[in-house]
Amino acid sequence: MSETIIETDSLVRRFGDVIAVNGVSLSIGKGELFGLLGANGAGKSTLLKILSGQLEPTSGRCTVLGVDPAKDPLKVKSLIGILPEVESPPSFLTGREYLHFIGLVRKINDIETRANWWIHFLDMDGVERVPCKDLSRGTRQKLMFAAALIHEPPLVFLDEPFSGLDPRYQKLLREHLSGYLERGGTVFMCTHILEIAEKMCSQVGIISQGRLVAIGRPEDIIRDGEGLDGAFMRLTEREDAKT
Amino acid sequence: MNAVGQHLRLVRLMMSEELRLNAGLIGRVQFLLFPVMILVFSLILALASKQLLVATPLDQMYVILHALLFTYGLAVGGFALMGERIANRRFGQVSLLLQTPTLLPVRFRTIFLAFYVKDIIYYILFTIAPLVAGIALSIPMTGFRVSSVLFLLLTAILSFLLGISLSFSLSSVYVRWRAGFTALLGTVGALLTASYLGKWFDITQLLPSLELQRTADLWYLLLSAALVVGLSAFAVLTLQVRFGSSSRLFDAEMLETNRSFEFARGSGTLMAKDWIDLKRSRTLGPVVAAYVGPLLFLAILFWFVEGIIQVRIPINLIFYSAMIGFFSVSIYGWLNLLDDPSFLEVLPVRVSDMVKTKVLMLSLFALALSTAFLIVLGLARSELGLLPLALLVGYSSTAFMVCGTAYLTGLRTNSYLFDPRVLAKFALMCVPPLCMLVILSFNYANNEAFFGPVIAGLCFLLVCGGYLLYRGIDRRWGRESFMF
Repeated sequence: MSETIIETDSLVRRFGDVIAVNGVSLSIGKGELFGLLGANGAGKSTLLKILSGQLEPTSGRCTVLGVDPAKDPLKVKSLIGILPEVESPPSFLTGREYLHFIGLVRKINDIETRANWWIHFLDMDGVERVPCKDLSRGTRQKLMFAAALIHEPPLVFLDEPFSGLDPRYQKLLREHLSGYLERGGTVFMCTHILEIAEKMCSQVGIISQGRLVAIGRPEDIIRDGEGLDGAFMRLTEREDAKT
Repeated sequence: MNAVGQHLRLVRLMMSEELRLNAGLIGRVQFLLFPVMILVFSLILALASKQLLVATPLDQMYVILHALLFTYGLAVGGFALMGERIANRRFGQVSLLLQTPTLLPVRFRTIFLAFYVKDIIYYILFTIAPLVAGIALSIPMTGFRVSSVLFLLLTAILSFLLGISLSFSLSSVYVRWRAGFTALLGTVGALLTASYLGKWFDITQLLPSLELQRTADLWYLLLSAALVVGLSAFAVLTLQVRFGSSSRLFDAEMLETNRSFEFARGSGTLMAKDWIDLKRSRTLGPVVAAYVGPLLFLAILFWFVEGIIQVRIPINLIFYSAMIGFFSVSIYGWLNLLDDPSFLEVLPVRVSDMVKTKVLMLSLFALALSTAFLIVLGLARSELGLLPLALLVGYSSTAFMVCGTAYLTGLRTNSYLFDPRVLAKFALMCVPPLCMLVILSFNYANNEAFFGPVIAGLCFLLVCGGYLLYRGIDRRWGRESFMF
């Protein structure tokens, strides 16, 4: 097994009476693209937020790149890249300035070169002088994608990364992620687009009502005659029936 | 369901939204404690009314109360003018019913009318009703007549309604005809100032609800009601909404601005971003006005009292410098309205870093503006000899008040100051040193050799207190989330 990048043991997160994450244990190795699949409100984003130091777990433990995000969230955030579920770059900075800001916060030396590369790569030259509040949703999403990866972190968390993007940019960014994985990067991705998960992920986890109901390679989860969508329906419906 | 029924349902939904939004911000108990606090406060005042009436005539009390409620109505409407812009900045992805006309086949006028009615009901229930209820509760002890209290409730509501309807109608003029708005405001302001200074007539007579309170003349009730209905109808009928504003283009200046703020070390980048936000969000003007405006008002007021009415008040430059610290709190509030900071949640930045950045940003403003203000005022009052002590008082009181506000309210100043527990702490923290500085400044001329070192000693304590509060920001806000 390759070097472990993320490890969790019996993670629980409660919001009052609601248990958003319920005893999740998993392990993700270097170079993997892990896809966390689940219905709306299943606990995907909550788990991602715990692992990326945005939220403290109620109980259980986890390590990300050898650091406990509950104990040192700032350290974890400095090591990783995060694409949040809601694209909300700063209102009054332009796209280029936002990337400069990221570079300054993350202390990237060649930030202008990297910003230029991402702006050209994502065809944002025409809107680079427009403040983020006036950009289209898709352009903001592209910008957030660039912001999550511009420092080429060893691990990136992506929450619904392709939402709001047209098929062309979905393809472009999928290819970029493939290259990133080949360079040794690791991806933790939340999505409910099962086709993308089936095509891209080396390992998937299916979460339902906070519980991880299945984890493994897509081909290990899928039974004969069903796709990943079929496996997803079977596993989540079974969990629903239990409750 | 008929149109009126649908409208009332919309108002009820908006009311639920407002209550949940506020309760979500500061907690349900704290939110409900706010009207209770107003009730207790007015009850205490009512119980002390006999003593208060010895020092302040009843008519003057009416003037103060109605002027405050009218201004309160103006402020509520004024916030509504900028409300959506600020709500978008502060709450980011929070979606409000006010935005539904962009998605659903509902006329904005319909939504706006419901929003207006909701605002009126909400603020009457939240502040005016408890205010009068406190007075009503004192009836067994004070012997106030029930009819008088009910009459006060009526006039108080009318003063508030006059303020809010004027504000909303001015908002409509502003959106449609910005130059006309400026001209109108300038002309009316100049006329009112001239009539006040020239004593052409009693300016308080312009508020019919106050005249109703004074005379119980039915004519003023009709006039007040007609003005409220007329101004409200004007606001709703002339409402113009521009969905999708035009965009301006900007050259990249983040790296260059960051270099200018390198002296702030770890906070430089966040300060550079705030500076760009200030310029582009057109908040620089309001920030300066929120600081200099009240100080100028005080200076003009005391010049009027001393120079025109010839009443001697022992005001000096040190008094104004003590006020500087108090008014700087409003700048801190404005700086927190610049932008939704939730994008920082995914970066290696803590809430406390941002809070400290706001404190440093404000320090720069306060340093420049208060120094300039005190020098100009010192020259105008021929009190330049007091300038060093005044600057010391200004800087130290600002440091203490702002660090205290930052420690207590973090990045949600305007919301947390509605939390009675925070408000009580804020008052306990600010009022005693402010009162001490004011009293000391009044006595300074009597014995400079004694009061000078006492004031300097108090300033030293304020700086120490400010430093401790600044250091406490990490502990208080270090683990908080940027998300709303």
